[in-house]
Amino acid sequence: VRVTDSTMYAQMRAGLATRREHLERAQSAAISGRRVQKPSDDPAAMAKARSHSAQESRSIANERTVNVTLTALQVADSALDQIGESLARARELALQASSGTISAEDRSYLANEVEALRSQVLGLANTQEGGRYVFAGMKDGDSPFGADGVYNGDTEAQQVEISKGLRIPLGVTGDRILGAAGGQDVFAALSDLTSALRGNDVDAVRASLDQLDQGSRQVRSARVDIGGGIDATEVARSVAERGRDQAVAARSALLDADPLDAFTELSRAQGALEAAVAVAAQLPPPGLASTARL
Amino acid sequence: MSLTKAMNIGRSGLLAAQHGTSVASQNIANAATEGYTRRTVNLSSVPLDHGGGVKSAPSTRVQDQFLERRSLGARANSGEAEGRVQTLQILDTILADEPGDIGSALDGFESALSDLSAQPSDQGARQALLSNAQQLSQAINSAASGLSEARVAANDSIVGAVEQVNRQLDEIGALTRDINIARNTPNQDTGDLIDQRNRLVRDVAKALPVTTVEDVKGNFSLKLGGSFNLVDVEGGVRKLQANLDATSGDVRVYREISGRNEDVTRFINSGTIGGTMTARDGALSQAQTALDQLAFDMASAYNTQHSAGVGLDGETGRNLFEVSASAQGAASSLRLSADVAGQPGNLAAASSGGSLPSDNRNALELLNLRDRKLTNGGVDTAQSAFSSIVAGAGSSLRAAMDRQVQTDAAVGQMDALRESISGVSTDDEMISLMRYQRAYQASLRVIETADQMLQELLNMRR
Repeated sequence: VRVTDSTMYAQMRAGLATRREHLERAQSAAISGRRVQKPSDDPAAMAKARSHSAQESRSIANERTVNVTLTALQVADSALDQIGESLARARELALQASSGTISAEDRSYLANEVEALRSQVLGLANTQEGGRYVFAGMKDGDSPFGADGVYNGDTEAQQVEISKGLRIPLGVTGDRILGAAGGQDVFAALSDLTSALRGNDVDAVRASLDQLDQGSRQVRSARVDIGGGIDATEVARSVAERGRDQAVAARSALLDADPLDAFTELSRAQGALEAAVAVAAQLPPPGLASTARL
Repeated sequence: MSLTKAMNIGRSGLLAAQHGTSVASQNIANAATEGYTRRTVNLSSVPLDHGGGVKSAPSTRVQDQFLERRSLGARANSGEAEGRVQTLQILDTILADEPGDIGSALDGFESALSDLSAQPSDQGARQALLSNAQQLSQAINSAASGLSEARVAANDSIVGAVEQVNRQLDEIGALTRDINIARNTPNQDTGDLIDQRNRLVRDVAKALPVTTVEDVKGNFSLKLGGSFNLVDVEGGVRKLQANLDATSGDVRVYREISGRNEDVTRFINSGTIGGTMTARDGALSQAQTALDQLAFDMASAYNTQHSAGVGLDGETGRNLFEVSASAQGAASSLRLSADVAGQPGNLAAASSGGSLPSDNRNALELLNLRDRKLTNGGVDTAQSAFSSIVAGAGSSLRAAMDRQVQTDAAVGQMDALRESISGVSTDDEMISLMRYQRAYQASLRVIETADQMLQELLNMRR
């Protein structure tokens, strides 16, 4: 092929431009740490990375839900723990009062303590967390138990989605723990015990032992349910954490530049440009125009 | 008198050498002139019985017609790729994986829904959902306006390119008329005019698929897509028009024929104009349609579910989004509904008024929509629909970019081939210069010798 001056210059120009472009790309990858920065860099990777980003965001949202759920369940659990203790104490007092050796006066003292226990349980039953009444079901804006021990809350607990497709109730509703819906109205039992003690009615005091036992069973069973919820939530937390880590890693594998590769590519691009510049600096090549003697 | 004959022959040699020197000088002077075709000296000997010596015909241009024609096609292809890349470039910015893009806004919206479902009575969670829904609308709005701006830019660039082509056609027509006159005038060199015309034709070829027809006598015409004349043999010019088509709102290309406009867009399948139209009606339009569909289907699905639910005030039937009545234009019309805007309590997390405020049953249904294949005819979730918009747009741009590299290389090769035939090599020209210098010196010697011989003859007579 006949090589003309323009061909040589055009080649040099094109060669330098291409190498500069390579260097620019290598530098940008090395600085940003990203191999794929725009959809056109690698459309398939970009689209796949999008679904990993969505996964990451979901996992983070699930972690938040898990944290909210855990707090609510733990608060409910500790309230139930204390309610359980109060009921145990009430049973102890009832047992004490049912023996024949105790005087009517003593029984009325015990009645005062049982009454105090009742208002303690009432307070615990109206436990709040983050502005929500934890035993009120979905109607958690108002206190579920009135002073008379009547349940005004919701019969259904709020469901939370702690991981994809897995929903658990956020606690147990108060009516099933302390109300008649659970089998025994605990507040009624405590009121009955108080009046029995005041009325010095030993038979009635004995009868309330069974009622209190049933109440304690209700509390225990609610704690078992809540404990199951806590366990499930803990599992969901580690699923979410793992999901997030996986998503981040998968996304990074798709989009990020391997630092070693990026550096190698950068020095290769630099070398190539330097070589091209060195050749270009030799231009124009020796020609007759500069050497011929006319 | 054959000695005077020898002197005359020497004189013709001097003239030929001078001519050769000036052609070589002209070539060297134009070594860097864009589109210059090198000239060669055409010498022929004059028979001795006709006086002898050498005569020079006008110099001719060295070029390969076939190569010229092929280079037009290569240019149209490279222009096509360039037009596509320029039109689609914007997609990379609109769909880049960056904070504030549709993808992350969608993530934020779904996360906020998840938070609302966990804490339906929490004002903060409600407020956050409102602002995330608004951000999602805005992200989709701004992508939509980016796409429609790109469409306007594509149409503008077609109009601009057609105007430029018309100016170039005018020049080509004028040159053709000049060449026609010069051709019929003896000893007129048409080379420079033809070079100029070829350069213009190459420029036009970048914008449109054109072909040239040139016969041995030099009759030249320029055709669009090989079908009709843009410039005829007489140098008459048929201009193109870029007009807005009322139905599509896009620019199409017409030519005026016997008083009416004929749509010639279908002939323009390459060149920057062709490429711009391909990208505008292809990938760009697809991205717009897909985004509209996504916005419309998503808004409809969320509205249906949301309006089935109940707000904190016990009211039902409220929309979450406000969107156009059909998919067309949905992406730019998407807004947060006035039913809920600024009123977090109106978000319908509950399914009935009986279990407020923490009834989250409708919020859970809304949350479920993130996995519902709610768009593209039940094929895609909102997330996967957006992913496929990214993949589709990215691949179209990638393909155009790859094509540009290929076609640019093809043009480069074609130019190198053309250059190897028609280009100026200073080495060649220096050699010619040396040759003509020697020839000039030798011819001078011829005259000198003949003169001496004549002198000696005169001396002998004395």
